Amino acid sequence: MLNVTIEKLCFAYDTAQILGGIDLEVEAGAFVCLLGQSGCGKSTLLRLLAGLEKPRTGQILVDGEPVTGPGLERGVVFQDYGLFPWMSAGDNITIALKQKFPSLSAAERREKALRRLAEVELDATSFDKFPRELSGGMRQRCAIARAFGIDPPILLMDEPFAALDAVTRARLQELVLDLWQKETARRKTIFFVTHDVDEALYLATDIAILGQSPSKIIYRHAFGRDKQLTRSTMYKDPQIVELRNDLIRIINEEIIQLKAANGQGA
Amino acid sequence: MKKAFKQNWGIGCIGIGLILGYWLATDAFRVLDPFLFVGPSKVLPAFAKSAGKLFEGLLSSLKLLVPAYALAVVLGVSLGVVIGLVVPLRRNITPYITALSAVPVTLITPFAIHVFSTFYTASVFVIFLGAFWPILGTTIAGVVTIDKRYLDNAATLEIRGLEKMFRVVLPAAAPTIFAGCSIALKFSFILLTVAEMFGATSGMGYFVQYYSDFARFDMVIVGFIFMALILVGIMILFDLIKRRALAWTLNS
Repeated sequence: MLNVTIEKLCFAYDTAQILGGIDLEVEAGAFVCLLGQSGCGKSTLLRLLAGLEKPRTGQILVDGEPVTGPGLERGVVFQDYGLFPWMSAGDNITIALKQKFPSLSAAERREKALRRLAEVELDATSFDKFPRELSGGMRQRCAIARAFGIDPPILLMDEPFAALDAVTRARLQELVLDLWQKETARRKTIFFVTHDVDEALYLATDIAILGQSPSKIIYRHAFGRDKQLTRSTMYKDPQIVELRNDLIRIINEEIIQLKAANGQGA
Repeated sequence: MKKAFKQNWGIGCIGIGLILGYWLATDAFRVLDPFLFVGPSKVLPAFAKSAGKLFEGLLSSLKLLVPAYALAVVLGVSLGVVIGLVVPLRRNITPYITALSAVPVTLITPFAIHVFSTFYTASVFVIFLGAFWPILGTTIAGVVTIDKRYLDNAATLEIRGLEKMFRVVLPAAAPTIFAGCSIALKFSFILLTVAEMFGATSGMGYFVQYYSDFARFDMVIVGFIFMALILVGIMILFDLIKRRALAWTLNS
């Protein structure tokens, strides 16, 4: 529930330019899906939003304040490695709660963590399990429970479901959407990186496609605030089908262009 | 009891095999030179006779080992974590660590005796130094190879300072650190003989060295077996601790 403004953002690793001037205005409470081919710099953009990397030029403003480093007001869910493997699932949540709510007692943190686990449909027995003892889907549930547990106004998700099977992925998409919608007036601003067009269509209120080398935003689509799609009916809507075709076409054109450019160079 | 037998019968079989083989090569057929390789028929009575002296030696050795090893773990791990995390410090100090750790600890003995006020502290220092380098080296390596994603994760949760040290950095580097501590523990036993040559009048290392000087190889073997048994016992304890601390890894 904070505005995010990205201004002329450029980023490079040594000499390899990754982001070539990204401009993006995002309203508080939006669910933004960043779409693009792998290697297009969308994860890098997310790392910059998280404050894990510093821009070469340009800046990111959160409610007018520039991002200077990582912070609890921007929660992150990684694709994997989101949980510390040496802590139980429960401790992974309580350590985050301790950071956010230092005044809570250990018992209160534990109780809060258990409630958050229940919210993502994990029972109390998973509290004491190590991440390696949980399935991939359960680990991501736990990571989501932690992210929502510290209740950040901005949530950054880096292909969180890319490694999961289709059924689990669909279930977790619904779960995240539920948790986000439930907060009505104080919805989090979510940035969700994915390469899956259908995932973006289902989740997003705003879609941005990143072209690559160096990456820029080449396409934007905003659904209305009142977007209400259900998985069973969304593809019966001709507008959605057309949008889906457009998105796929734009991403493919980008790939073809890039190949042609590389071919010339060689 | 039954379970313990089921898990460890292989260890027992190998032990019996080794003793039997040694007995065959010595007492039974005298394949090996009986002056150096004293057979069980003489070693066993010698063991029984010197049991008191051996346990006295054990206590004396522990007085050197425990403080030396504990200090090596505390200093090695804490300095290793700092050097591992602070990149400029690591860059500048690495060649010196390499150079110093290559100096054989036995060569340091005269310097240690000169610098330290008592033979006891000099002995502790020699063992400490031997254990310190491998622990320092593996801790630095363990910290440097921590997957950056875990550090990123900690950063996004604003986990800093001591919390980061004890709940992120040390656990993440723990598998490597434990490997170093285990090498250091075995090495400190080897150094006992060196340290007890000047710093003690009893001890497990002293016992072996003393009888070796008189070519009493029955007693040398007795001392060696006793030391080996103690080391195996300590390593079993060490593994128990390690197993608990590293329960989160897959193959422990």
